[in-house]
Amino acid sequence: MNRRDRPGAADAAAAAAGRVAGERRVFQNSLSELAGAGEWLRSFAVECGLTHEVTHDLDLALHEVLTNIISYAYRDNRHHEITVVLREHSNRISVVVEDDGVPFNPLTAPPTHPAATLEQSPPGGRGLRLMRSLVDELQYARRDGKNVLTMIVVLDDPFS
Amino acid sequence: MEMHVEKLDGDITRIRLVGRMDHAGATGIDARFMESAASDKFLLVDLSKVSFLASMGIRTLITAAKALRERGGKMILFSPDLMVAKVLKTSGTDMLIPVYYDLGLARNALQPSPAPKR
Repeated sequence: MNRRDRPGAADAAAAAAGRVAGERRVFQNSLSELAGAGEWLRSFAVECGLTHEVTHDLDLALHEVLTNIISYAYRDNRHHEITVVLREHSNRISVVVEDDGVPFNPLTAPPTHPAATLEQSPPGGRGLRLMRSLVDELQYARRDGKNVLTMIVVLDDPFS
Repeated sequence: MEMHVEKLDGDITRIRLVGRMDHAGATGIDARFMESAASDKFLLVDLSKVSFLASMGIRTLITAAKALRERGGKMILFSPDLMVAKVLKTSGTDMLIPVYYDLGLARNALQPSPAPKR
């Protein structure tokens, strides 16, 4: 069994959500990994026949989560692995991201509010707010020393 | 991502961005964009060919708009596609930097035409 096949918390979370079809990939904690992660997700979206809007929202949500982990989750300069599992199950797409960075629950992180004026507006700090707005459900768990974040998008029923 | 700079009439500079304004895209144009914000007066940022806008790209836009405002200049965003417009709205950026879809209105917002003489 190679490293990519080894089951982990991300797989367990995806399986618990009821797997039908999915893919798993491991990325390094380097911002240069973002482009590959995005390409992989978009290719998965094509295979699942997702709409342009759902693809965009998942692409951006994953981009923001990975950017946040790579930029802020580690207190050392060592290499770390970030596992991402994409699953399509019934009318849902789930994206599970597992990292061994410092504990961080984005569901309990204080929400940032948009500034009223340009002068009051900080340049950054919008990534997590964006991510929260793009997905329908968010779940977080700290398991075996790892953050496991599950983002779920519920697909529209074309027959409803 | 690509960044094309073009001088229009009336001290207006049009910056046309093309591609994904993700972390790498925004980082790649950030220095040139800020150079323009530090030297030009009115910036019309054409987003019609931008397919993806991440928070790093919003950071570039906000930082440039603030720098321009401090110098008495102004920046507007022009013609974002549906997905980019959604991100601008969700992030509240459209409340901080005006968004226009009509070039005439956009230019007038940057530099109002003088009232006709009687």
